[in-house]
Amino acid sequence: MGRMKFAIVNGATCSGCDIAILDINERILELVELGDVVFGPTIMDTKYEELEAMAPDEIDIAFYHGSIRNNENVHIAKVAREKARVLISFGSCPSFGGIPALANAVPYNEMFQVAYKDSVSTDNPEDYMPGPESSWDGYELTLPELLPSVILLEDVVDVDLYIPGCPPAPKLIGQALDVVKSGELPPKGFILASDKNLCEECQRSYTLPRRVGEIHRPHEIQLDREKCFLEQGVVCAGPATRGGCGARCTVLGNMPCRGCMGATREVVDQGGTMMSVMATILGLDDAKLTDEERDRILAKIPDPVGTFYRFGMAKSRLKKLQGGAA
Amino acid sequence: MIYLGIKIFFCTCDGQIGALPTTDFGEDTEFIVREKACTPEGIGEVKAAAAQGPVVLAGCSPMVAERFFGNLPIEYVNVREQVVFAGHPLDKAVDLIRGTVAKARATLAPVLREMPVAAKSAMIIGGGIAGMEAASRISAAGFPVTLVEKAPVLGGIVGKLDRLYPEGTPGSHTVYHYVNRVTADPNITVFTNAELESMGGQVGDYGAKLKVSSSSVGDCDACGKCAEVCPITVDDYGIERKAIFYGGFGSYVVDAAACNECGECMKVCENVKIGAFEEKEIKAGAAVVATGLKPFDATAIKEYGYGVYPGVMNSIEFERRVTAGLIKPDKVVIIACAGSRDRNYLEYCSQVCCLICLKEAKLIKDVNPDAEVWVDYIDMRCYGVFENFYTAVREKAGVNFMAGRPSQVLQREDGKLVVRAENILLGSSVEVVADTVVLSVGFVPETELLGKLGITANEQTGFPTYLTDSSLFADSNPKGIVLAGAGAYPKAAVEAAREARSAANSVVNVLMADSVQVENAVTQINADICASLNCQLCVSACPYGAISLNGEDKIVVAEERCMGCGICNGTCGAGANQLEGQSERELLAAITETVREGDVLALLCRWSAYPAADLAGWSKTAYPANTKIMRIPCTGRVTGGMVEQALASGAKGVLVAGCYPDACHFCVGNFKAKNRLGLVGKYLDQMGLPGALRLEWVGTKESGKLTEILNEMAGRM
Repeated sequence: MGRMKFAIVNGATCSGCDIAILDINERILELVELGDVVFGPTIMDTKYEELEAMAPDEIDIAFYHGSIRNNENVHIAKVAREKARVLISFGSCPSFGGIPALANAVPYNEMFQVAYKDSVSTDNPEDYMPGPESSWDGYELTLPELLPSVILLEDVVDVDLYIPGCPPAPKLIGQALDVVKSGELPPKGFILASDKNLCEECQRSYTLPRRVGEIHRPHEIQLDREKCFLEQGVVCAGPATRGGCGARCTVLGNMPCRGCMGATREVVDQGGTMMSVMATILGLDDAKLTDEERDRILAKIPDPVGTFYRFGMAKSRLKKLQGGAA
Repeated sequence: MIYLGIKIFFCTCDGQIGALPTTDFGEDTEFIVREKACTPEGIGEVKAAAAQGPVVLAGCSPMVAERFFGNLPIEYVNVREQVVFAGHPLDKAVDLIRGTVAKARATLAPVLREMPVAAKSAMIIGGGIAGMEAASRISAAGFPVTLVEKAPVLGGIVGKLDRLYPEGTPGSHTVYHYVNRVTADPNITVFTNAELESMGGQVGDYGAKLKVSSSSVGDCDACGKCAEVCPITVDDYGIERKAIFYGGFGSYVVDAAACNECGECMKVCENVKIGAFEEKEIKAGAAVVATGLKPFDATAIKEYGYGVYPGVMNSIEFERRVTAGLIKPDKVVIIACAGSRDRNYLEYCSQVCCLICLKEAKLIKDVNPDAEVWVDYIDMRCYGVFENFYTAVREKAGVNFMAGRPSQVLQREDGKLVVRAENILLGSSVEVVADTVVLSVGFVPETELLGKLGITANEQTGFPTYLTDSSLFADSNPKGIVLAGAGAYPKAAVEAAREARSAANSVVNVLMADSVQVENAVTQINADICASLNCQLCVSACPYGAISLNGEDKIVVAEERCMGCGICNGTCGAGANQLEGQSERELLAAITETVREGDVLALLCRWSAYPAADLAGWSKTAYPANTKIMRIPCTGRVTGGMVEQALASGAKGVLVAGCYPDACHFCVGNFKAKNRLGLVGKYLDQMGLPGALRLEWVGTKESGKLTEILNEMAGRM
């Protein structure tokens, strides 16, 4: 096998995924041995034109990270698909929407209104609103056009493999490396992670029957390192989240899971499912939980969207309703 | 099974339903029109098709159609009651069939579960009135019975008593009769001093491990020497006795649980044999659990001085001491509801203690007509004909009754007891001096054994959830383990016996069959994605204890115990728990295809709101034609995902309606729904869809309420 060609292509991203690829310790040497990164704006000086000029299937593996937020993201995703034999949806953003997709919870215009006018940190005396084409100070400016809502990479192009996580765990990137080295790709659409939910890896202790009497925000209590977060009344998305990350946040970080690995294969809607799980064990006694008590406990979840759909908003089936026609 | 496509039977219900605007439901479907599917030929045809592949039957309501097709996995479409009778256009029927066909395509095929009845014998746990009655009845039907009793003698708690209420009939009327019948029956094997260690297997073929004492007493001439030399003294409900004692049925017996195996008794009598506990294994096709109850430990009620003042005792100790002649009280205060209906101790009413109060009051008067007896009560709950007993004790026996729960019992220096109370009828505080205070305590179940059998306990009472009593659930699965008697809840001896007969009937029904079938769809667990030991959320959520951790690494569903509520579907974050015929994939597919832009989707509980919708059709109560109704097993089956799918598919509103609080067919399903939909509602508010989701309680006959809600929802849009 000759040297392989890799591309790291990004949409609306924080570039944490770029760092994650580089941050695989000594295994980076295997990557270098296997081939070259021929495109990767964050880590090297490359331009879109270079990618566009490549022959179809010239790239062996393209990692796409970041959300599909605007038409530039759509364009580069399509280019990457054309040039790469294997396209990987890398990280939570292209796979489920990621953090940028939280904006899907509000209508498009409202999002602009908040970002450019209403937010307390905005100083915009001239009420300037950026658009695809605008003039400012005598200059004609063009910007990529935002889509009505954040969509998934799979909504734009065919995806061969998914590596979820925000960012993906080094363990999973290592597994991806093994897959690449073996030359035997899993079936199309395969999600490189565990089949089971996070609880399988987290293994914190709990008592039966499992109930939640009170809900606490993580900063409000001293978090026990041994006990299940749900047991402590802290919302943890672990039960509705795919494992495979090694439970880094819960085991090492002593922080609850926020769901960046997405849902398991039997669940379509991660947030809706986690809400059902959480509500099932709410209150110490089903029959005695009064409406007032329920409202009081639920008031501790002021932001269900941000709590249960932190990474999965673009996968929510309500997306048709989000920000007008997608 | 080879997928042969979906057969859609469209029954016109004898011309009541007209022709559909289209009969094209996809290439994999076959549309078959029948005038009347409920004729013997029609039933045969549909049944034959259902045995081969998925079948959709569009016609009358499933509430009617099910009687012809039993538990066959047929998908029903209610065209008659909810489209034609409701006065809606047949386009709606097309949508409903489309949705149902989509559901059938996604079907998690139910497995027909046959459990062979291999062991044609029964096991009874508990040798009290209920256990003995059940044993006799099952034996009479011709099946061998093993009766396991923890105590050294049969009779249970009734055997310890002198008399039974209401009349004060000697307990021996009942007990000797039962004991003699059971003992003489060659078909009944009795193990006393025996306990159940564990129980495995399933209905039709249980394997029980017993721990049985090998101590025994042979021919006994009642010389009593054995008891004289026995060094162990036991407090047996208020009466002290030795670990070897006269057991009441013609012989001295060994109390193996108390015996220290010193062997002194064997030195004075060659007929006594003392030995260790031995393991025994028995097989049974079905079992009756009749473990009875025990009195609440009154030492917890500090203010009454039980265990501190010798004159304070519970009702059973009192009866035993009086009738044994150990005490001769002249002035007695009986405190009814001692510790019962009290948030600090027992919150529930044990329902027998009021009558026991009356019985003890009469007993004192019978023994000593000059005695002064007070009953301090909160309410006298003498249900049904027992009111006559109350009247008789009050008016004829001369017992004084005072309304008011005593606050304190104190002992004076002369040893007399002082009962402080407020007479709430007169509004005055009262102090009554007495020589004996009887605490009429409530009763608590024997919980340890219930755990071994995997029977879940009611969170408030600790008594078992009534899952195994088939009389309460007409749809229940074949139950191999049936509860009977006071172990299920405190009850009178006569009621325990009556319940035992019903339990025996259930057991005999199982034993008579070659095999039993699981009646309803059950939950399947996908082990590939289940986190088992590390999660167990569904174990906590199942109201029937049907889900358990098997060994270290596998969550399993006891199919005979699963009632098909679907609560666990919404509990598993991984989506591993899926109820057959109601799996998430099926329901989402059905919702997607059924709902059209602007519809209201009504997810109606099959036990309450769905029949109400049928009734609306029969009574021609109008509701909007864009109401799409889906039948769900319980509101507890509804997940956030289903609501979201409906809205994403264009629904302008989603109604979830089911049984009123505390009246859920599956105990807690509607509470789960309330929590879940409360949270989902908050999410929808945030998404700019306030009020799109409603959860309502609708009774079977409340078609008016249902249609009012539906009209309101349509009007709101």
